[in-house]
Amino acid sequence: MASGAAWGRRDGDGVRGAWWVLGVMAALAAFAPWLAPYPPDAQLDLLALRTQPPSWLHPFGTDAYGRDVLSRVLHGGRVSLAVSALAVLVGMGVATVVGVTAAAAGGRVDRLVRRALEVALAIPRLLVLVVVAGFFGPLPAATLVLVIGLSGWFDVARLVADESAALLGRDYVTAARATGSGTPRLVRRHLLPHLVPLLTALAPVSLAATMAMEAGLGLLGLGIQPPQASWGTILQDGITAGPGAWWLTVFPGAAMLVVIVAAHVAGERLGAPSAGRLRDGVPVPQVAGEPAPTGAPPDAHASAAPAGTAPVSPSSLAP
Amino acid sequence: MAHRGAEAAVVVLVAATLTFALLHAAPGDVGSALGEGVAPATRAAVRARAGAELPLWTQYLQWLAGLVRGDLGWSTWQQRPVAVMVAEALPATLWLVGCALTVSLGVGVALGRWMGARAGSRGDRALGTALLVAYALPEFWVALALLALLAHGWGWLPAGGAASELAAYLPPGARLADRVRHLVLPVLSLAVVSVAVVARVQRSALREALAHPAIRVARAHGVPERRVRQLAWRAAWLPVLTLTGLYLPALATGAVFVERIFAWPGMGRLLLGGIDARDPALVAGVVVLGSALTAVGAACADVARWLADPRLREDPRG
Repeated sequence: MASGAAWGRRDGDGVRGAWWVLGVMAALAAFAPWLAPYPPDAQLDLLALRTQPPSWLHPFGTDAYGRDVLSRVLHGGRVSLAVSALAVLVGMGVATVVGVTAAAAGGRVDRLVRRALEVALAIPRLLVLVVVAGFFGPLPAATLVLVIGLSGWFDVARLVADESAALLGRDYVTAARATGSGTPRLVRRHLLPHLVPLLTALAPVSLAATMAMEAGLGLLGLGIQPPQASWGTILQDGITAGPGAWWLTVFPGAAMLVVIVAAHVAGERLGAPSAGRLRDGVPVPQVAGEPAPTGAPPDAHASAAPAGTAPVSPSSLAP
Repeated sequence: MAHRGAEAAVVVLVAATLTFALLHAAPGDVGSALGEGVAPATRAAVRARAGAELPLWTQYLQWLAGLVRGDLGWSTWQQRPVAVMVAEALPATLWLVGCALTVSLGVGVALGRWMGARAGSRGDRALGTALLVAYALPEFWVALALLALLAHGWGWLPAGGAASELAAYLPPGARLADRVRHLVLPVLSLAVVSVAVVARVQRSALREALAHPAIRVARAHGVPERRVRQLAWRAAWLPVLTLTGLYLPALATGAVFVERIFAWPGMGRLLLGGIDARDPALVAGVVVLGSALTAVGAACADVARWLADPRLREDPRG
């Protein structure tokens, strides 16, 4: 997870610009049918337009079936972004439910859930996905969304559990409890609203990782199936086309790069909502409406478990 | 440290059980894999020989018992024991991942130290931005970019495989050079991302260590700055060890993509071949062994950290 401070960048550098870039890419994807010059699956001219380099008529070139790559990249972005965004929604939904439940239940349940999450995180995700997609597949897009979403929420659940536990220990929660609020009401009124900053910071980074996973599966031939265009299937066409047809990998790759980097920059606000954590030995500046630090002094952090000093372990959310 | 071993064992058991369950829930089995036009009696005989008629529990326990003995089953694709195929492919993957880890630890720690000691400077921020991009990239993206530029574009390095076709006829020195040339791009693809991961943790750990009161005391006593940084780094490289353990599953995922793109003859390619051939024993073997190696690697990283950190060793609860 990239917090601005952890990279030596000023917190918030370019965050707004990154959200704009994400918005533009989403708009391009959404309006692909109107923007794309050709239908994505139309084989325009199998002889004259077979794997042609970029030209004025086909700015991104054509592939081995004479299809216009620009149109495929636009339509592919629609599929890739939709699948990833829905998978992130599924994953973050499950993660929030599990994380909040663990923190609210506390005690043995909390410990058990955390252990289970650790085990789940230790299994390489792709290996499981490859088995599912390879032996049950080819998976329809809706199933793919579920499979990708349900295999990638463990790290988010851990963060939600940490944050919820910190929030539930705060004075206003104790006060609410003392005035007779039950757990459901506490969660609804005093916990979930305060999780929103954390979740909005995690969502774009999670989107980047999920998109990479979706495209990766597509590239292995296990994701969205050809002839439907997705960034992964175009990359796969590029690999099978062999050397020389650089436009088949460069353009979908560049589109992915823009989204992934923008998403990571947009997620840099993560530094803010981690209540009470000290980043790089410097107290996190207070943001209005945010819980105050409850954490330990800096040296306690420096000596205690270092994995806990960063709210997201660096392995998490990496593909 | 015993609990760390137990945790690794649980991870392997969960991975194995999940794989078994998935592969058995999937449509098709040894009987249907024979294709059409096979006499029902033959089909039944093949199923019986493979043990597919036994209750699921018995199959599961027999399979687990086999795993413990090192028997990974029979590959229907290549008609030979899975253990033999895996033994052929494993060194290539270990070699690839080992080199990538070495490079990323070396370069990542060096970059992180440099940045941590100059936190906030222009160089730190510029490098930070570059590493943020590297950190965000998927391994297969880096692999494709390197392939397009360095192998196909400029032709500096070979595009795939672990050695040239005629490498066996080369003199020993040239053979080694050939292997190294084939190794560069796959290792680089994995390392670009993990260097960024390591550098980030090293940087913030060093900053934290430099903020420690002991460092202020050392400086006040007139200890030279070089020595002060060495002292701080002694504490600050420990998080890197922890990180290495946590990062291994992601590295395994990256290795599958990189092996596919560079036609590297390792476990990842074996896995994808097994998927194409619908060979359940092979796929199960690779997945279980992959998860096991990852879990053991992570446990080793934790033990190494425990050995390297006197504070953990002296903690009676450790």
